[in-house]
Amino acid sequence: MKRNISHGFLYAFSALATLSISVAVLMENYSQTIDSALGTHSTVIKAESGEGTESLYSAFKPSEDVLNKDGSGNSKALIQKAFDLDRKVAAEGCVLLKNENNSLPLAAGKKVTLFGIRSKYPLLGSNMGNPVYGGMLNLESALGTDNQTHWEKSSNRYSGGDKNWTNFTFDGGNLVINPTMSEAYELVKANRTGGVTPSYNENMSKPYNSTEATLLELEGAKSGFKSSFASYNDAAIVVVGRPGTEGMDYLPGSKGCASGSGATDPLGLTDTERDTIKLATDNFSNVVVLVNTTNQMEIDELKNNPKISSILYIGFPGAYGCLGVSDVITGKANPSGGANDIFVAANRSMPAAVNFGEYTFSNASSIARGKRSNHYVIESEGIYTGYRYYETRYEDCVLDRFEANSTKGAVASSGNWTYSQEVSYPFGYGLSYTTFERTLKGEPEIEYNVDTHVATMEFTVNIKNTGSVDGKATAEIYGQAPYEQYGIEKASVQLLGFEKSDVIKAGQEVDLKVKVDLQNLVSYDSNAVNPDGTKGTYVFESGDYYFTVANGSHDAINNILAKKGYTPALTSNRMDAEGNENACYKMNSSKAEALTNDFFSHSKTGQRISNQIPYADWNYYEDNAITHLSRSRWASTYPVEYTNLTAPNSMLDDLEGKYYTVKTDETPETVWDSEETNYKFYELFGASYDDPRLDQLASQMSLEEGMYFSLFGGPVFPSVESVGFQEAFLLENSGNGVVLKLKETKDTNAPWAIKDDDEYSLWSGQILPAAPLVASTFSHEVMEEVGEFMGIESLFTGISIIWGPGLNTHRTPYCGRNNEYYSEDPVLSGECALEASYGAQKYGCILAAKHFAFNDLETNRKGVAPFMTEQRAREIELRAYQIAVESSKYDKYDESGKIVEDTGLRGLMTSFSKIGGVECSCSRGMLTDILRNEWGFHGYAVTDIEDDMDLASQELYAGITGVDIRGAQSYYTTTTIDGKFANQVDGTTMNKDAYKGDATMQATIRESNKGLLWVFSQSNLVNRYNSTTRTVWNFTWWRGAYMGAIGATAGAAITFAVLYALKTVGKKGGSENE
Amino acid sequence: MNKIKLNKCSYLSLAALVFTIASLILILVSNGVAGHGFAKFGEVVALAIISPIAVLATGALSVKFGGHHFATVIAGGVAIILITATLGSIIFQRSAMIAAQFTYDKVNQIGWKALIPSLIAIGTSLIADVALITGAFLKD
Repeated sequence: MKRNISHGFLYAFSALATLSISVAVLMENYSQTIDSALGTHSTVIKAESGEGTESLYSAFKPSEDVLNKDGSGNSKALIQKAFDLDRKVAAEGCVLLKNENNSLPLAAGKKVTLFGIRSKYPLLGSNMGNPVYGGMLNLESALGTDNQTHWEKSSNRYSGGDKNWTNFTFDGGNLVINPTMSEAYELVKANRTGGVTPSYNENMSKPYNSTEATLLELEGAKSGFKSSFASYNDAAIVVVGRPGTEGMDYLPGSKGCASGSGATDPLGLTDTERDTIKLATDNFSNVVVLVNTTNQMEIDELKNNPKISSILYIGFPGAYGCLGVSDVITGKANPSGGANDIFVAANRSMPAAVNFGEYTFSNASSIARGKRSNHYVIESEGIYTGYRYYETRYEDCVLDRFEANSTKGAVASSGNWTYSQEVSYPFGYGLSYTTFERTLKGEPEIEYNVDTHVATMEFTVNIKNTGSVDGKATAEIYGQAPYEQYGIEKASVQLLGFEKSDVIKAGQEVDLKVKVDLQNLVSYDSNAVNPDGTKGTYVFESGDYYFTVANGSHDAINNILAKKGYTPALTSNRMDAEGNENACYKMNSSKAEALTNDFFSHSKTGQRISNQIPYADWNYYEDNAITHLSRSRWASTYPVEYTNLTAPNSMLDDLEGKYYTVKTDETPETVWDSEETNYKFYELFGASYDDPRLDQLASQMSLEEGMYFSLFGGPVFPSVESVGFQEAFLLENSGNGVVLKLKETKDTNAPWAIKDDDEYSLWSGQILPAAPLVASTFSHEVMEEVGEFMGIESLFTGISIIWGPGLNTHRTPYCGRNNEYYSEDPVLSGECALEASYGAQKYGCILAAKHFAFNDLETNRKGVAPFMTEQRAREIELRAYQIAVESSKYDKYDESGKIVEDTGLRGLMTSFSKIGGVECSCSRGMLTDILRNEWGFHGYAVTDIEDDMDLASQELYAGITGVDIRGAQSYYTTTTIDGKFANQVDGTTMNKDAYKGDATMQATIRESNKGLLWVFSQSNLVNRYNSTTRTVWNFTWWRGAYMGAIGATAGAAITFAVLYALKTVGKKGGSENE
Repeated sequence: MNKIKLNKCSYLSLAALVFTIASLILILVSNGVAGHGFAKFGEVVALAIISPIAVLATGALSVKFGGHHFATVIAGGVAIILITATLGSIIFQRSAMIAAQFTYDKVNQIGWKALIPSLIAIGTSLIADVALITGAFLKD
C-alpha cells in the first residue's frame, strides 16, 4: 500500500476513533435519556421474591380495571381509562358562559359547519411544559359520526398515535360535519410556509398574531367553499383560542400584538378571527363560539354580539377531552363548570398588567451575578389581583367611597370605572342547560380547636333544580371580612370553599354540606406586633363577617350587598343586580367567642407566625419607594409602572446571593455513621414522620452520603448504601401525566409493566387536560381522579415522584405558563392540588407541586425578582401551597388524636425566580420557616433544572432537598459533588468535606435526608425492595455499538499507522541501499 | 530570499487552519449569547485554540519536510485528534443545553442564536478534518 494511502487512512480512522470516543462519553452521560428513547435499561433494580424473602409489589398496585386477571398490565384498558377521565374532566370543566334561546345543546344528527383553524387543530396542550402526546382525538372526530380514532393515519406517534395501534371506538357527538370546511383548513395548513404551525401543541409567537386562516387562504384552498354552508346550516361552531408555552409570555396591550393583526391586546381577537366569526354570523342563525385557551381571552365583543348564541369555554382538553366537549355541545352532559379566572373586557385593565414584562435594574452591569440578578418586576397591585380587584372596587363603587368611582384604571368603561363594562364574566360563573336556586339553610356549624388554631364553618346549601334538565351544580362559598378604610387591605369577597352535587333531577333539590377553613378569610398584617417582639401575623378582626353561596364572585358580592340592605334602586343603579339575601349569612365576630383577634397567629403546628419574607417588599430595602394599591384610595394609589429602578445598596448582597457563609470551625453534633441500628429505608413503609426509627435510619448515613442525597435531587437519585437505597431513575415530569412511553418504564420487573411487544407500548402518558380545565370543574371528585390516574401511570412507568402539578396562581392572563397552573384563586388552586396529591398517594406516587413560588411571569424567569407585600405573598400565592400541604382533610389519627398519617402534599419544586431580592431556592423564610415550621411540611423539595447551582450551600441552608440535574448519574464516580458544583458564587468549590466544621449545615442536611427517606419509604418505590434488592448494570446494545466503533476505528488507525511506518522505514532503507 | 514552496498538504493545511480559526470564532460567538454560555467554556475554547496551532505546525512541517514525513504525520494526527475533540466537546455541551430546556420552534430566537453558531462550528471543524485527511491522501 502506498505511503500516502496509509497516511490518509490513518488520519481518517484517527478522526473517527476520536469521534467515537466523544460519542461514547456523550452517550454514557445521557444513558438514562438514551434508555428512555431506545427502550433499553442500563441499570435495573433487581430483587427476588419467594420463599424466604419478603414479598415484592405488595404495597401499591394499579387499580383492577387496568390489570389482566393474572395481574399483568392491560395497556388498552389503561388508555380507555384515560379516554374516560379526559372526557369526564372536559365535560365537567367546560364553562357555558352564554346560551341565548337554548341554542345549545345540539341534537344528534344536526348538520353543522366548523369554523376556525382550531376547529381542525384545537389546542389540546401547551407547546413546551405540558404538551399532550399519546395519540390525540380532535374536535371534529369527537363531534362527528365516525365514532372512532384513526391512528393509522398518524405520521408521528407523538402527535397522532401510532399507525400500528388498533383504533378505539366511542360514542361521539353524531353531528354531521361539513367536510368542505374541514378539507379547507387541512389545505390551508399544508399550503402555509413560515410562521407558527397550527397544531395541537401550538407554540406562541411574540409579538402575537393568531394562526387563524384568512378568507383568502380559505378561498385559495377550497374555491367556492361558502356554497357548502346551505347543506350544513343547523349551526356554526367557531373555535378561537390562544396557545401557551414555557419560557414566553404575552405582553399587555398593543406591544404584545403583531403589527397588522388588528388586535389591541394579544389576548384580544385579531382581524382574521373577527372575519372568521363574521363569516359564521353572516351565514348562520345559530352560532356557537368555543373559547379554546388557558390564558383568558378578551371576549366581550362575543358576549355583546347578538348574532352569537352561545359561548363555551373549553380550556385545553388534553388528548381525548374533545369527547367531553362534544358531550356538552350535544347535551349528553349538562355543563357544570365555573370560570377558573375572571374574564375581563380588557386584560390590561388589571392593575397587575401595569407592571408586567421586562424590567432591568439600571445598575445591572454592576451586579456580579450578572444575568441571574438583572431583572425585577414590581407587583404593586397587592392583594387586588383578578376577581379580588374587580369585585372589591365594585363594592366600593356601589357604596360610592374610596375613590372607586373614578376614571383611574378604567379601560373599557366610558367614563368612570364601571364593573359591567370592565368585566365580561366573573370568576366562578357558569351556566347550565337548567337553572338552579341556591340558598343557605339554617345556621352554619362552627368548630374550633384552640390547640391547633383550626376554625371551620360548615354550611348547608340547598340547591334546587328549577329547570327542566337534570344536571350537576356547584356550591361556591364566598366570604367577606370587615374592612375599615386605611386598615388591613381586604378583598370584598374571597372563595372559601366549594362542593359539587351529583346529578340533581329536574324539579328536585338537595342539601350539600360545604366546610370552609376560616384561615382562608383572615388577613395578614405585616405591621402587627407580636408578644415576642416579632412583627407580622394573621389577624381575625372584630366586626361583621358575611358568607354566601353564589354562582360566581359577582353573584357573591351582590348577595352580600343585599344582606347589607342595598338594592340597585337605593344605589342609583350602581349596584347592577338584585342580590339574594337568603343566600347570605351574616355573623358578628362576637358570636364566635373563641375566635379572638390572635386566634390565627399560630399555625396548625403551633408555630407562632411572623414575617418571614420581609425582603419580598421593595420597601424593605428602600422605605416608601413603592406605593402599593390600597382600597382606601383606589385612584391615588393605582399602580404606576416602575421602570429603570436602581437596586439600592441594601439589596445588593441579596442579589449577589450572600445568604449564608459556611462555617469551618464548629463542632457539629449531628451523628453520622451510626451502627446502633441497621434499618433499611423501605422498612419504614407506613411509619409516620415522627417515628423514632426515621432518626435512627438517617444517622446510619455517612456525611458524604448525606450530602449526595441532599444535593442531587433527580431524576436519578444517588445510592445510599447504609440505608439500602439504590441509585435509580425515579422522577419525571409533569402535571398532565408522566412523560414516558409505557415501554420506557423504569421498573421492568413490575408485574404490570408493559412489554416492548405490547401493541400500545409506545403510548405516552402525557394526555390529561390542562390544569385550568381541571380547576373549572369545581369538583373534588374529578380533581382526585386526576391524581389517581397520575398515580396509576407512575406505577406503570416506575416513577415514584412526579414534578407536578403546577400550583402558582394566575397573577395576570399573560403568563405563558398559565396552562400549567390552575387558577387566579388560591383556594381553588390549593384544593385541586390537595385532591390530586391525595389521589396519587393512593398509588404511592408523590406529587411535587411547582413552582414554589411566585413564578408570575416567564420573562426572565431565571432569576427575575418579583417584589410584593408579604400580605400578598401569603394570602394569594402561598395560600395555595398552604392548603395543599397543611390540610387535614384526609389525615388519619389514632384513638388518642395523634396523627398517624399526614396526607398533605409531600413534594414540591422551587421557582427559578426570586422572591424580592432573594432566590426562592435559597429563601429559608419560605422553605424552612413557613413551609416546614408553620405548615408542617415533610418531604421532597427540589430546585428547578440546575437552578442556582452556584449557591449550593445557600440552597441547602434554606431547606432544599436536592437540585434537579438532568443526566446526572453514576454518583460518587462519574458524577461528583465537586464536579457538578464546582463554581460557587463565593469562589469556592463544593466538596464532600465542605461542612465538616459547620453544625448548622449538618443539621440541615440531616433534616433534608429525613424528609427524603420518609417520602421514599411511603412511595411506591418500596414495591421493589426487600433484602435482596440490588442495582444490576446492563450491557446495552448501544454500548456494544460504541465500543465496537471505538475498537474498530482505533484498531484501523493503529493498523494504518503501522503500515505507514513500515512504508516509511522501507523507503528509507531503499534510499540508503542506493 | 528563498521562496516558500507549498505542497498540496500544506495548502490543505492552510485551508484547515482557516476553518479551525472559524470554529474558534463561532465558539466565542455562541458562548456570548446571554443565558446560553458553554457550561465548560474553558475546556472547549482551549481545544479550539490549540487545534489551529497544531494545524499550523502541520503545515509548517509539511513545507519543511514534505507532506508525508513522519514529523508532519504526527503533527497532523495530533491536529486531527484535537479538531475532532473540539467538535465532540461542542456537541457534548450543546447537548446539555438542549437536554435542559430548548424549544425547536423558530420563535425561540435566543436559543437558536446560541445553537446555530455551534452547529456551524461543528461543520467547520468537520471541514478542517476533511481537509487534513484529503491532504494526507494526496501525493506531494
